[in-house]
Amino acid sequence: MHPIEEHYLDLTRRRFFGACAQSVSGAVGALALASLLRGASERAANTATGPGAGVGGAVGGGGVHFPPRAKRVIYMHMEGAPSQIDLFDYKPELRRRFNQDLPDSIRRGQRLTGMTSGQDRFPVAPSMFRFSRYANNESGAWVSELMPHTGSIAREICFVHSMHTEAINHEPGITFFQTGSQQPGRPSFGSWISYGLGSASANLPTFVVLISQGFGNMQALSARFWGCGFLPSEHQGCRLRAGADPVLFLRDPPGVDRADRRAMLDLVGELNRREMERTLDPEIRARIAQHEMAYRMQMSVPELVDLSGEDEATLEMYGPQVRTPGSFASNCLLARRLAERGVRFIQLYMRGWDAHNNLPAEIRLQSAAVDQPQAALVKDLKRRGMLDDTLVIWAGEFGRTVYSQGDLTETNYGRDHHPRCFTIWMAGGGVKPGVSIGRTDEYSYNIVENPIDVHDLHATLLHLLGLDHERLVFRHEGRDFRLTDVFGKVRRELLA
Amino acid sequence: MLDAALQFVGRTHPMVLHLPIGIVAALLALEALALLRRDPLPRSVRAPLAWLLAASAAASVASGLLLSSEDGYGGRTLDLHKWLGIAVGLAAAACAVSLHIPRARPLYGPLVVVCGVLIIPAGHFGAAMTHGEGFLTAPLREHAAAQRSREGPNGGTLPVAGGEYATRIAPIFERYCVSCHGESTRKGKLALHTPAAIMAGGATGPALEPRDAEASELVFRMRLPADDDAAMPPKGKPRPDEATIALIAAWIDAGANFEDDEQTAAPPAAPAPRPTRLEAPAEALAALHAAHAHVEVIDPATGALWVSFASAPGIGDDAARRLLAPVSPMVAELSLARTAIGDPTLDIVADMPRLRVLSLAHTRCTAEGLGRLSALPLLEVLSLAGVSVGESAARVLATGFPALRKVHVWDSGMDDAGIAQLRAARPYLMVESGQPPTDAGEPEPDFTFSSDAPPPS
Repeated sequence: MHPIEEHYLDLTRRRFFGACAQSVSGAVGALALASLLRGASERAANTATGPGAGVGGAVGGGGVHFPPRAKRVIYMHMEGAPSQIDLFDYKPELRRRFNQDLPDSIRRGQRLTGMTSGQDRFPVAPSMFRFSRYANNESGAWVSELMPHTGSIAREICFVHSMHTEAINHEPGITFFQTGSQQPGRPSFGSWISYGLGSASANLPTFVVLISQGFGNMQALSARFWGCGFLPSEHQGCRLRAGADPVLFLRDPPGVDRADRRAMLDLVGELNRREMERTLDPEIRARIAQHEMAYRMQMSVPELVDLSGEDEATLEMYGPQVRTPGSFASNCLLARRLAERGVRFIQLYMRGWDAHNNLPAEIRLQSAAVDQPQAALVKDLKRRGMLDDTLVIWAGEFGRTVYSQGDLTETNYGRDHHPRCFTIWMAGGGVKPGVSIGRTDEYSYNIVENPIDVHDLHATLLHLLGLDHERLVFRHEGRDFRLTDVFGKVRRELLA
Repeated sequence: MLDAALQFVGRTHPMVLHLPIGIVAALLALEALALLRRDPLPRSVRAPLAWLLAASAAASVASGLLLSSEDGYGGRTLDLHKWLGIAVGLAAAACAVSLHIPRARPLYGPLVVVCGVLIIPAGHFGAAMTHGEGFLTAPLREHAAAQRSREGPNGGTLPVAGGEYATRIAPIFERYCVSCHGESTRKGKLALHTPAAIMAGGATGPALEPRDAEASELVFRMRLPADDDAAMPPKGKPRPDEATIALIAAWIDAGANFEDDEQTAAPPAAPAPRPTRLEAPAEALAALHAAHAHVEVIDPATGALWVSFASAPGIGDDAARRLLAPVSPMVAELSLARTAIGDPTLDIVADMPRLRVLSLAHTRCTAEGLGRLSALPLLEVLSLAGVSVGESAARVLATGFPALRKVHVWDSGMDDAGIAQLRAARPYLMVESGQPPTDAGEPEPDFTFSSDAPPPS
């Protein structure tokens, strides 16, 4: 039985009236307790999500609903939305339409952001980058010269050219991708996985977030992108910072040794437990768990970020930036090390893809920063035998427009937000390797084949993790919530 | 066939019968209170209650008699219930009448008590028909039975030979069926409490076809989903699990023999064994947890486990052997990557019949130890990345390993020649050497920008 559920069962009638009598007004006390009891019944509904519940070290996890293909996720989010036209969605015909107006028959009056809706015209800006065709398990994948290393692993990759989203701005766009809703407040994808499957690591958090600064126009990243919404607090993502102190205040101050720390935690833990018995606040349990986790992380985190055990050839594979803490290369290597150590959900953010102006210059720097490391990560996982059960996802929050924002020349242009189609890719973890799914029109403006929305993607990813997106629910405010809410379909064409 | 209206009235019996029970209880309580206070109950209370009791008892008797003429009721329990019920009705009527006859007035008190006493067994036997014989005492008896023997009525494994009716089949019918299909209640004219009754069948024909469970109505009904109208036991009643139904089916397939004589039993037609769900011993799981190993059920249907030592890199052979031995039958995926284990642990791994995926990456295993795994029947994926197995591993992997599909040999000391040898020996085995892909892509020709393309129509 879930410890909290058990705890609520300890509530007795005597306790109920005692609590009523103690409060200023009995009625208020009864109301407060009634809301607690409702919480208890919701919590009871929230425990048994699967038949694997309660096995081994799983914290809070209900377990899989059916055998999983993937056991962990490395999700690389490209904040700012990379241009699909300059990276993966090959449209050579556009070069003969340079600077022509985007036909109304393509745009069909669809909404634009305030940044370009006032433009006099919408001139077609073909990609100035050369593409190459890389062998995959179909007729080859076209990838731009910006991503040669990624091209070289095309046999492992499933490109989805037909992603689309409802959001047109970054904040709601990322929120939608991370939580299944454009409005803030829902649990993030990683939190759902933590809630559904529990921890697979005894001394690292279940859900870890790593952020790399970019080289272009950067938008803010809110901590709620990895927040747990209404799920219990232990399911929120833990951000590791770059540098000597990946977790702030994790290190003991001078003069405090580990035995002192242990004694302090024991005492504080005891006080917390008493408070929990008195108030029945489940957040206190999360707090106790976090204290204990932090204590173990005092040992495990320094070991994690110590790269002295990595051989030279491996470091070289991730590229020259690998020794720079916080770089995307360094974070990709850390992602592999986290995966090896049992972390269930590793969220990488690469900032700076929001190229409204000067796209060619910005995307060169951005691509150079991610291309080699992300390919190295896939290759490194594969050779260790970990790619089979590690799901790698690479996605922005939307795409970019075919028409130029601002002045268009042969060597410079900008692109605005475009939610109607964009490219993401996935590898490993039961995803069909070496294929391209979906097709866009000749302007990379609308989807003409196999549209896939964010809910479908979520449903499919949960499916790969052994979870039925309709059964992974959490009761809150009187109704069952899901990552996919009332939407989502498992897309079999993405599965190996 | 009863007139439909009469049938309707009959079926109000389970509701109406509660009225006299309540009224007699109220009357007794009021009279007792009055006696205690030495203040007799006023006539204005006593007479209406007594007449209400008489009327409701009469209604209960009438509706009960109508209901009993429906199909499916009979036997000793019904008789007892019927006559006790009628007695209650008569006593109640006498009770009411006695209030109006001065000479009979002294009889009023005893008659109320008689009503109250008789109504208890009457109600009990009625309930026994609805809920089944022994409904009231079943929990007590089951508890006692559990104390005597840990093996319940459905214990044991498939298949059943003939001649086990009394020991293994009858208890199932007893537990799930005879409360409605027994001596006193024969819903659908079917009873399952004796061999003769079972073979006699019910309103829709024979209950079972010996040697053909598939064609047997009994098995068909039991396997229907609970919300099906024809499902048995019906929605809301306890339903046996599939293993129990399979036991009955196996018994029917074996000839539905009622004799306890092994000699006359037909040879069992064993049904295909279903994968059974294994449960790992709790103490073994606790030990793994304490050692910071991760254990997770990755197939809820079979209980197959994924065990990973990702958080326990310090684990050595002694600890790994001790921790893994108790769960070895149910491990389907095992990662020992980056631990300090070596060949001794592989003796335990070799004894994992369900193992499909094994990672030994960066451990101290050798080619010699690897050889001990060659008989693993289901092993599909094996990672030897970073394990110094050397070149002889190619020879070891070439034989045995019946299900092996993929092997990772990056950084394992196996050279190109060894890999080529292995690939030649097992053409369908994916040998992942970890060599980086060399595909440089096929570049598109040079291009220039123009605006000469006609706009799309």
